[in-house]
Amino acid sequence: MKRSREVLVGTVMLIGMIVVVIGSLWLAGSGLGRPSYPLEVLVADVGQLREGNQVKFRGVPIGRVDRFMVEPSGNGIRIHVLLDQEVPDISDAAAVVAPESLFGEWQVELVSRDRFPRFEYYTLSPGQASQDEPPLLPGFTLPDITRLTAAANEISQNLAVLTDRVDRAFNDETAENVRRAIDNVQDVSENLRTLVSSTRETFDDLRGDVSQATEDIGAAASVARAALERTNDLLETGQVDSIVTNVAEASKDLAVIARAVGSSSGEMQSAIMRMDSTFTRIDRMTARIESGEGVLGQLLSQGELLGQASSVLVQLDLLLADLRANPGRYVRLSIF
Amino acid sequence: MSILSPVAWVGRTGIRIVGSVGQAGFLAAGAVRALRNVTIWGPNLVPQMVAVGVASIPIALFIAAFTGIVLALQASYTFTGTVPLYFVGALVGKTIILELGPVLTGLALSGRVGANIAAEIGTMRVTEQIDALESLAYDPVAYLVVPRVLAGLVMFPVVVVFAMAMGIGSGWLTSLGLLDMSTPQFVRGLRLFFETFDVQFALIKAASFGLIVTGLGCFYGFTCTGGAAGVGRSTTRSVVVASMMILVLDAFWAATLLRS
Repeated sequence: MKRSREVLVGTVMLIGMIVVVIGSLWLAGSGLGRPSYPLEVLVADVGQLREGNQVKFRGVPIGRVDRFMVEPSGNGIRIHVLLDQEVPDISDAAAVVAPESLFGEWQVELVSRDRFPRFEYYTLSPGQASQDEPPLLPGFTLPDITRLTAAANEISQNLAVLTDRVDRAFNDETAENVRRAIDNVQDVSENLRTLVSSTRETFDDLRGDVSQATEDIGAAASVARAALERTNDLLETGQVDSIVTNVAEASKDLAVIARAVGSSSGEMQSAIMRMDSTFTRIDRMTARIESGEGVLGQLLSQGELLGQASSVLVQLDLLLADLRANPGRYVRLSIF
Repeated sequence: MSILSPVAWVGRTGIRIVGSVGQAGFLAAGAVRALRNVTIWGPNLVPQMVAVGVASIPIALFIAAFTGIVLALQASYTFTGTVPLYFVGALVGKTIILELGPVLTGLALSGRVGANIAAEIGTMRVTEQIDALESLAYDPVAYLVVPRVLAGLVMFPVVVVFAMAMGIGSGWLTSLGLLDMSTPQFVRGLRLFFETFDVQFALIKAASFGLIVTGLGCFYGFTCTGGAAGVGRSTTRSVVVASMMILVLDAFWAATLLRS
């Protein structure tokens, strides 16, 4: 009886201990004798990752986080994970530490860098990836939900401030000003449209004028080129000097003539006036003569006298004609 | 009834409490001293381990089984809609291991074991069997107290382990049968927040509960007076005080060990 009691108590205690040990190991995720493959990940911080969290590859759990080690430099955390299988062959492999869900679970996911190229993975120095250690991967930890919440809170506060400012600034008066500004802008755009249209016409005309001017300039250039060639010839033959000299002398003579003509024109005018008065008297005399008054009149009325008088008059007419034609012959002018 | 009667009651109660504490201290010191007398308490240890531990496993399993069922159903009822259902496993595991396994088992055993010890030793006291042992120069503390307290100290954690396993198992079966969950889902939740320290914490609490339940049963049995009525009072006090002390210790250990 005593023996059976001892066996009973011993059995119960052993079962209890086995349950505790195996249950704890199983719940903690231990491999319970299965082979495990170590892997290490270097990250700046681990966020909410805890020992026992899952390690996944393409969504499949392949291991668990074993422990954390702070780097001696203090610049990072080394995550030691144990995989249930060999480390997958990933090109340019890296690890992303991220929340598994919205309820506090985190995980380590083995990825290729190409999948998330913008993540700032931990930079491994050449010595850190030595062959003696387990495979070492650079890691990146996504921000914790609390950090995202804090950032969102800050953004919302900034938005609130901005909204408040907009609310203050955008009152009825501002709206009216904005409406006016829009009208003004509309007017300005209309004017600009008109200006652009007219400017385009002007430019079209100007373009035609410029084209014509270009042609004229081209022709003028041809002429100028020919003139220059001729000028060049003249310069080369020495004709220009003589021409210039002659022109200078001619201009001097012209100046003298101009002055002489200017002074003689006044005398000519007085002479012509005198001649007019003379002709007037001659006309009066002729009239009296034709009327038979005086000697000449009688001459004319009488045949013989008339013949003689006619010859005299012919001669007189010749004289007058000669006088008109050559006043210098009868009127001597002296300038100096 | 004079005006000083309440004051006298307070003084009387205080003296009684201090006296009880002193008596408990003397009893504890005697039990520690009696540990040397292995030949006295040794033969009695295994029967007490059977009585305290092995015989208590069925009631502990019964309580834990229904606790696991209720926890799984209440967790699924609470989590419906927003929280993933695999959190049922996390809640069942964490609650059973950390709290309900040790505490409910302790409360149940305080009624079964504590009352049994108080009634047994109290009867021996009122029937002067303990006095007879003393007259034979047989240490009653070594013979009656030490094996029971040691049995409680050792077997309570074992019983709690069985209770925890049963609670989690019944929660798992409930999740499979009633909650349309799969085993991987439940296990995922179970492992989600599991720490090895949780089990250590539960075993420490269970051991302390065993110590306090058996110790109080022995104390109230040893200090029992007044015949059969006195045995009844001692038994009741033993259960009530042990239950209160379990809750106090529960808070104490939580405040001591879970505050990181």
